Amino acid sequence: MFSRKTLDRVNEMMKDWEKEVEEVYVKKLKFGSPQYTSESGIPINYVYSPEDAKDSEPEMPGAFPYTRGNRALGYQYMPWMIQLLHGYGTGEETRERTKYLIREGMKGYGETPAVLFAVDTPTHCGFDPDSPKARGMVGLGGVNISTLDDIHTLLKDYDLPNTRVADNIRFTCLPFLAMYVVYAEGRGHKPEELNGQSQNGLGNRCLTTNLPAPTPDAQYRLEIELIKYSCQNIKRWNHTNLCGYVFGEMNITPTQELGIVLSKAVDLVEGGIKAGLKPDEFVPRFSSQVHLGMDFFEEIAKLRAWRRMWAKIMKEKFGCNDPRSLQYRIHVHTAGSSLTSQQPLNNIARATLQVLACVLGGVQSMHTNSYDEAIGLPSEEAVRTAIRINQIVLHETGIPHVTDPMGGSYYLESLTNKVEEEAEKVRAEIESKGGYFECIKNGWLRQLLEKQSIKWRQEVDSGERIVVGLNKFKIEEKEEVPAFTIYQPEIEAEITDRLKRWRANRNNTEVKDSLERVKEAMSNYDNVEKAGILMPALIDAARAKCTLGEMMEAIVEVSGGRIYST
Amino acid sequence: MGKDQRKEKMKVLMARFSLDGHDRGLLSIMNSFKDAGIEVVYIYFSDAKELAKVAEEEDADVIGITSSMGQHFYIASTLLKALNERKINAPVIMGGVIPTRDVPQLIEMGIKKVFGPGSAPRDAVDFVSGLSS
Repeated sequence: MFSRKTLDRVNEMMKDWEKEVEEVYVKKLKFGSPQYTSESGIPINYVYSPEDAKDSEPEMPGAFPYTRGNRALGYQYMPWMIQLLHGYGTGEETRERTKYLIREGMKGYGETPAVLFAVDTPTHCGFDPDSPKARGMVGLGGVNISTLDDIHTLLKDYDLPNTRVADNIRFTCLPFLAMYVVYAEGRGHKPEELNGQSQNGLGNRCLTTNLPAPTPDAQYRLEIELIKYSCQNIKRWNHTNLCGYVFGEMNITPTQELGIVLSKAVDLVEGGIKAGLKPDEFVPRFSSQVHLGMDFFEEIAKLRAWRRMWAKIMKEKFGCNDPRSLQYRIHVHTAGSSLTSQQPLNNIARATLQVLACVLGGVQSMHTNSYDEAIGLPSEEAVRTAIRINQIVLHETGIPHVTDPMGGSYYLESLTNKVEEEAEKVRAEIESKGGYFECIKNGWLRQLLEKQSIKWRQEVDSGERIVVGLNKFKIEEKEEVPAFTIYQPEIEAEITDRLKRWRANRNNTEVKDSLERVKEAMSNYDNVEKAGILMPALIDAARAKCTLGEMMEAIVEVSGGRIYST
Repeated sequence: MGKDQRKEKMKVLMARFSLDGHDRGLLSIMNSFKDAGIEVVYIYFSDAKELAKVAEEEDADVIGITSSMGQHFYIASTLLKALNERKINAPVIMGGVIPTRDVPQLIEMGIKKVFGPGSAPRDAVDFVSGLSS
């Protein structure tokens, strides 16, 4: 990036600088010279020079390897999507929250409404609300969905082809997608008209929550099934959200997050190829949910390295040619784990720094946490403030007027290279152990996550890591921000009652037969090469008014699992 | 384990009760218990009755449960009922995301101690160690 002559001059200046630090600060002022490291353990210097950035190739946004951005123009042409994951209680309550968020500024690209909804744990796992396993949990942490009626309640006000429907579902993505396709069909829409995304991340959710899931082998097959179906039938559907967020919440480091997610992507692309797809057919439709913590510059470097590594892997390893396969689109979820319930307004400052890092890193989309999310579900005021942070950065600061404003920074270019190097080590290690899904099976990944979260706690307890308000700068908390709560028993009773009426109002022979066909398809689907045989059976089951729980039960009865512990 | 030995080494039954996927706090606390020489038994996805059965079989000195999704009243009421049915008197402690204003009601229901957000693992260790002396 620099001529030899420039570098020689720089090295001379660097020697002078070092001399001054040594003589004035260390010797005279007794400066202790602490060695800083990034969150991922990368040693950080006190100052950077062209020498540190000399290995960075000159690059422009919109060109391979896309370190500086996917497109020639960034936010000047298209601001980031402001998407807030939300949902609780019944469909009506969640629908009201969606309306509120859209009114305040939540949106997809252009003016497309975005409905990014969270579901409760029974829906994640596939236990209908009347199941004993669901007791006490219906409507908590997300909306409950078990029938086509529930989807209607949530989405009846939206023109489906022009709405980005994104479900944040753990294990029941396939039954949900089948139900959504059938619901849309009832409103006169073909699958190819639909727009949105599935989480399709059974594996990582199982790892990070240890909730009842199918076995890892079955998870892999189910993920590939969803990729194949949506790739062939819903062209605009983002089939798989490569979610690093949940790992970040277990205190994995930024480079570990990147390495793990890339190892997962490699497994899935290989699976898609085995299922008979060409990489360029399905790679462009991977989406993401990246964790963004408090290490400001390393997080920016991570976002830049992420695009570069993705582009290289997809081009060099899988021979992708379509530029869309090489352009990694980034949705960030700011770190819930960085929030404190103490002095909760401090969380607005944390979120602002995280939004700033995202914008400097050139993300496509963002969920910004609300300041009260360490206490419970966010209040309306808190989610509005989270949206406002985005609008302030977008409209008041001028920051989005320049693409990749950190590009060329000696520090950031050097750090981007280092993050790439470290993340590649993690990816290679997982590969050497058999790949991502193998590392779920053999417990290696779960052990890593447990180790990291215990380490974080120990650092906080020892004071080695400062969290403002939690272990330093504490105050006598007078009054906490009131927790936004719902009266759960009433909601659970209402939802269970609705399900009872739904079950009474259908042909139970058809239900039984269609579930038998789901089991048969799942039995036959013993290898990813046969992908494509399960989804049609699920769609038929959804047409026969089977519930989400019934479909999942049929799958798990064949696949085994549910209580799978590493 | 005999009653005399139990004084030497406390045994805590830690449980993630119902469908709650949050276990980061639990992991840290279990680790601190182990470091402090407290024996830990961990079960999850159990319902109240299964949990009470395990508490009896393991002869646990303390039962620790977690709640991070707002289900703390449900957990407290069903678990305490199941423990009463088996006449288990081991104190029940609770951690997780629990609003401060709900704590008095949980204590009144029979929860011995609540460790809400911001509690350190040390607090739980001290509490359990205090019970043995």
